[in-house]
Amino acid sequence: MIADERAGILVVDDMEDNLIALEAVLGSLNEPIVRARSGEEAMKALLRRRFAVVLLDIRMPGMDGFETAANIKRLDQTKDVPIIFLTGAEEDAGYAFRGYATGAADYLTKPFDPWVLRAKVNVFLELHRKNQQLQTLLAREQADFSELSKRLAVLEDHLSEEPVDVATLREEARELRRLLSRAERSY
Amino acid sequence: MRPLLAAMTAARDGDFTKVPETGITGEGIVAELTAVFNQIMDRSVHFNTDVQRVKRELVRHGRLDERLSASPGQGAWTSRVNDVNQVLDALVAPAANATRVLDAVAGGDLTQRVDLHDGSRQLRGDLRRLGSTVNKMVDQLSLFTGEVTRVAREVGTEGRLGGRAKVQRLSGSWRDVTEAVNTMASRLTAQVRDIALVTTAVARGDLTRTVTVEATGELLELKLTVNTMVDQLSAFADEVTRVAREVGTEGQLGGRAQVRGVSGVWKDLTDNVNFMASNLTSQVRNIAQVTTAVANGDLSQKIMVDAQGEILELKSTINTMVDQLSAFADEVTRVAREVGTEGNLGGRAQVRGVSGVWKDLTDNVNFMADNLTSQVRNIALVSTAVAQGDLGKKITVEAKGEILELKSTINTMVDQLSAFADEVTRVAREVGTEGNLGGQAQVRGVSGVWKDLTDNVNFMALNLTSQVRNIAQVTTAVANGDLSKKITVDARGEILELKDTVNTMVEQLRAFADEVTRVAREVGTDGRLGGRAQVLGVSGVWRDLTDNVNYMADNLTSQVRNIAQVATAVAQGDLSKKIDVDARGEILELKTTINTMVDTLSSFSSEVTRVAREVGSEGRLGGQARVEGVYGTWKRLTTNVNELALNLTTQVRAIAEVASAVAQGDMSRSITVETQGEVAELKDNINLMVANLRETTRAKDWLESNLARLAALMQGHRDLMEVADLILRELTPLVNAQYGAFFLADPDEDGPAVPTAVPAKGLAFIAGYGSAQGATVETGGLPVHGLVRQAAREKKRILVEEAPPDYIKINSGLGEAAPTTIVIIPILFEDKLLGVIELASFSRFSDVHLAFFDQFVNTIGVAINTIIANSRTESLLGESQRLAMQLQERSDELQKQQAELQHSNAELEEKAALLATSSQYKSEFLANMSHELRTPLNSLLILARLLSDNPDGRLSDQEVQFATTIHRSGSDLLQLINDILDLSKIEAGRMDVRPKRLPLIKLLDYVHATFRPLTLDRGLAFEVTVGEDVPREMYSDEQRLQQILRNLLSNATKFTAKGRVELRVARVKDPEHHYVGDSDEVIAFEVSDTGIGIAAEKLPVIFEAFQQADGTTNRKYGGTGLGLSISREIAGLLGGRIVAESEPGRGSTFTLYVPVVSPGHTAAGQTSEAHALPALGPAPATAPAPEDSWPTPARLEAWQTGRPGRILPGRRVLIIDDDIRNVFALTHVLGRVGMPVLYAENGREGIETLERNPDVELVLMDIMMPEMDGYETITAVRRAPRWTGLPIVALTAKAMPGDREKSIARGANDYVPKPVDVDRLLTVVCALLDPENPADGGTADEERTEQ
Repeated sequence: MIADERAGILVVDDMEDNLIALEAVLGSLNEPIVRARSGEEAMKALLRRRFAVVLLDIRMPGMDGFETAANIKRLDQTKDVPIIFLTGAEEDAGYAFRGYATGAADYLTKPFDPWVLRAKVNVFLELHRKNQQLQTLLAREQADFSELSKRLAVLEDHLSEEPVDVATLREEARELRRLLSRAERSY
Repeated sequence: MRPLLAAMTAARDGDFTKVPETGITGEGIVAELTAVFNQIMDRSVHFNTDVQRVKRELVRHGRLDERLSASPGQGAWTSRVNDVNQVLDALVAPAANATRVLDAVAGGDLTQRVDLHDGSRQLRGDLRRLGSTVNKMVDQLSLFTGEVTRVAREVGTEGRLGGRAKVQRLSGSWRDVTEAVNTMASRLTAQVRDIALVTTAVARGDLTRTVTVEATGELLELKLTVNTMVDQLSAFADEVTRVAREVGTEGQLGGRAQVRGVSGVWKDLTDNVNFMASNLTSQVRNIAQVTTAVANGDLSQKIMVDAQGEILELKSTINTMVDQLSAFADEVTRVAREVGTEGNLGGRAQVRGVSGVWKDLTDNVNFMADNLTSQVRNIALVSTAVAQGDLGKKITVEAKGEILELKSTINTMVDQLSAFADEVTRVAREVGTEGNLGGQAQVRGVSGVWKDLTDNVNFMALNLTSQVRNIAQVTTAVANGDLSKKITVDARGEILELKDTVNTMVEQLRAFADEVTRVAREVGTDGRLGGRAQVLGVSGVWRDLTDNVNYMADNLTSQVRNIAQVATAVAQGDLSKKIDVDARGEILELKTTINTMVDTLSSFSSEVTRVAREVGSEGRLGGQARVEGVYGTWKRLTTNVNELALNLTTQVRAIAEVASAVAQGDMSRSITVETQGEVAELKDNINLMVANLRETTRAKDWLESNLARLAALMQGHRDLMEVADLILRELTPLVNAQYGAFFLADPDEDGPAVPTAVPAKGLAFIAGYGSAQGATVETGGLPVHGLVRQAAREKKRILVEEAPPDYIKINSGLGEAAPTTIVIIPILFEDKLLGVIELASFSRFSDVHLAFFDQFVNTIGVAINTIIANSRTESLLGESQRLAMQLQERSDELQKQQAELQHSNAELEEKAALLATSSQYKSEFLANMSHELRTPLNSLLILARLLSDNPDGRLSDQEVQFATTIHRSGSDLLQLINDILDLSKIEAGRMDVRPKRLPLIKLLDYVHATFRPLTLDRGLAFEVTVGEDVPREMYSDEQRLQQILRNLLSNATKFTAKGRVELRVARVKDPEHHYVGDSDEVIAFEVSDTGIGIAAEKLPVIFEAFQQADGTTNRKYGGTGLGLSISREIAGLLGGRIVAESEPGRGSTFTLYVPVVSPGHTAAGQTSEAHALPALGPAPATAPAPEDSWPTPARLEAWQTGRPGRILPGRRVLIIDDDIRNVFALTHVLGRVGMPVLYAENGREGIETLERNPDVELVLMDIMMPEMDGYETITAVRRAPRWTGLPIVALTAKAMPGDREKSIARGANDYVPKPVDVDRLLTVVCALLDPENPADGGTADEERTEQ
């Protein structure tokens, strides 16, 4: 699980043709696309890397889309990955309900409009990027905070020492102020 | 010189040839001569040449400014040239002057004049005439043009028509021309004025005028144009007026101005008007729709149409109004629901922000609700009181109108109820408490149900009375000992049960009484002790009673027997016996008394014995008894005995004498000794007894022996006649009768069970004695009469003594005499008459005879009854056997038929099942196939779409076209497959219909939105009209209705090239269910077009699958031909149907009839709601768990805190497993306890992952893996020195005994079997990761085992 690599798109379908079509539609988004030919493969892929969104076909031999989605949604590690269900036209009316009940983010009926799909996927990619940014920001905040507290501790140590070395104190106060202003800027 | 001369000669002759220079060479004068001559020649030639040039210029080119050039010579040469030039100037100057003037005239300048002075002198002659002529011409022209210009200016510029050019001073052609101009001007004036008149009229709005003036040429065209314009304007105005009138005055929206043949601005204008009209129409319709919805109570609608200006204000006003109305309606609805539905009185409507009439209305509603609340509460109070039986309350609240009526009605009702209750109470009290039957409730002034109720109560009371009286009668009879009565009154229910019970009781009582009577008679009358009452079929208290009677009888018997024994003993002189039987009560007293009596008697008897012995044995009569210790009676008795002994001695001796005589069979003796008092009576009695004994013994012997004999005789006979004959033969002589007749009662058809007093068919003579049938009274076959009938009726013997001599004659060969006595004896069995015997005798029947009759009749009755019963049983047996035979035959036949039927049934069922299965296979195959067909199409469509989008611009237009075609064809194919799927779904019965409330507007909006653009594209008019009485709302499946309408309308659009497509919605009353199955309320959607139409013979087939009217239609118009078929099926599912009418070339009309309320499917509706509800909000937390839930630790918290909470978090685990579900499950659990997880699919990848991630601290290794299994992997891992200490846990599904050992032998640290017990795994993991503290690990393990 490497955090900083670009989050990809996982496309799951048992039909090679559909995978090609999905790759063709989503190729212009310039994000890595990972194929899976079954629910099991999809789950394996999800354990190996992070994805911004999963496009999941419902009708698959073996583990079908609902079961796959249920497994994904139950695991803490993968449950936040948004899932878009793709299904053939005019399936049972209960499919959409089941899909959403499983926790899917969206539900599209084939044949879908490529633009629509691309737009939806793009929304999730954007969401993922924003999340990444937030995390980065948070990590930096935490680093800054720990740095600040460390320096404060040093300053207090110096203050408690006798005699007080004013020059060093001034230097440390200046350093603190600089750090604070940097932290404020980053907001 | 010669050449010179020659040259000069030539010069004279006009040939100005020069002397050639070449021939003269330098010879002095000649040369000079020659030179001069040549100069002269040059000048002459120059002149000639110039004159020729000027002439040529003037004549040939008309150039007047050409002049001779200056001569090279001087003098005359020069003046000659100047003269010539002057002549030319004089000639040219006037011409040039005139030319200038003419040029100016030609250039339109009429101010120039020819100057008549040439320099200083006047021109004269011809030249002057030329000049003045030109000037005169210019003057005339100027005058003419001035006039014409004036007229033209007046007419043209200033618009003053009617001006005339003056013709004075003009002449000739000028005058003519001017006159012509004037004529033209006047004509033009007239024409223009006419046109002006018409246009003025047009401008003033009068479109009736036309240009009538004569005109030709362009003016004629102008006239025609103006007239055409006026006509068009008129038509346009008419159309606009019509539209405006329709829209504005008559309110008929949707009208369109249709002005033919207009173009340009008129067309724009018309279009604008139409656009305005349609805009207005749609706005007004939308507003009307909303207001109609509001008027109909649907407050959910809003005006959505685009509008501007005042319409916008109107729109927002109406929307605000609708909102307020909605809020108001909600509040009022809430209050009404609270008050009306939930019964929650006292609610108040609170509508904020309303004012004016709404506020008043709200207040009114609240006031009404308050009012209603108090009234309803009061009414509720009263009706609760009524319900609780308190009829004393009345409604006192003030009310008006219907509530007042309700109030008075309820009060009246309470009054009536009260009266009714009083009456009923009175009757109930009379009947129930006081037992006063026959009372009737009398409630005055009631009607309807109350009257019915009163009548019912009375009827009930009456009924009860009669029933109770009847029962009382019967029970009274029973109480009075009459057990023959039965309850006969009609009764039902419990009374019926009571009746049956009482009747049964009476019958049982009767049987019981009979038995007890019998026993009592046996015991009491006949003295036959030991008899037992045997009452069959009784139970309960009767049985106890019977048992008690029996017990009593037994007891009594034993006691009486004992007493009798003692008494007998006493009687036999044995005074030593005592009653030792157990007894109580009076019997006990009796027993003690008897015992005392026996004792006393004993002592007394000993004395008496002694006396008697003295008297009797020793023959010492006269002995006296001396009994000691006795007093009173005994003393008196002893004295009396002594007296008696004395008396007795004598009397006994006499009696003994008689008695011994009797004992010796001599009954002729009688006591003759004198006695007194009782002994005298005794003597008389003994004498009488002896006499009686004598008689009785004889009669009894006779009676019994004869009875026994006759009974024996009658046994074994089966023929009634024979028995009757026998009886008469034996009986008649026995009783000294001479005549006898036997009448047999005809067998009663009603059966023997119901005994009747008189047989219905009378008595038949069957046997006689001493008399023929003729001698008897004719009774056969007729209802009997006379004494026989009387006897039969009374069931009593009738004895006629001293019959008159002519009653009947008994005759013999020797003579005849009348009998004196006649007896008629009815033969009875169980109270039923079987026959009658009549006997006649000369002598009187003795008492013995009569007694004999009475007893013998019973015997006869039993015998005859037995015979009758036997014969009836036999005939019944025969009948039943015959019937059984027939039944058997019938049943055989039926069984055969049933077997055949079953056989054919089974065949049919088999076939039906086969058919159903194959049909279902077909449908399922089709459905699956459609899906399979569709799946590859999806990718094809997407890719084709991408291609046709051509985002990179690399494809040529043609290639894009190809891609578009692929996409379109693919879409068509998909549609076709969808249609087939629909059809197969319908045929397989899997098409769901989910009806719900559907506003009609919604459906029509959909139609509008879908087909308005389509028809506009194709240039068709599209109109939707809704009938006035069409319901606003339906209950049907919206999607299916949309599908049908889409189909019909797209067909209409497809097959119509020009004209219009219309959808008319109307309501149809269909009481005969012509269109739909079981609903009266029908909506008709009528789709009509002006398209190609369908031939009549093709109409029936268009609804069949894959049919279009013409085989070539598909080629031209496309489509699958499935649409109508599907529509028809769906219409059928919705409970309706589709009807098509068409005329080729004129268009078609398809009408869909559907019921307003779709039949059935309420359950489906609920499910659809159930589907709809949870879909509203995402519910990831409640995601339905699959069947195989992941293993979870029994107590997660135990693994998150304490020692595991310190050890486990942050330790990286590698799971090597090919079963992803297992990996997910393990990752889930390990993630929960804070352990990050890496994953590898097989052993090879696992080793690679280990190499990449040196921080892995634990490996969970599945054994069964493809490519490189667990054992192999463990071996490989252990081979590397850095991983020798890495903890490895083996996981395997094979719980075989050797697994653990094998995996540990390969180097695994521990082993956990699959399916993984999470607690066990975590225990193992803890132990492996914290080996220093194994004791603590034990606690976790213990905790686990505790669970």
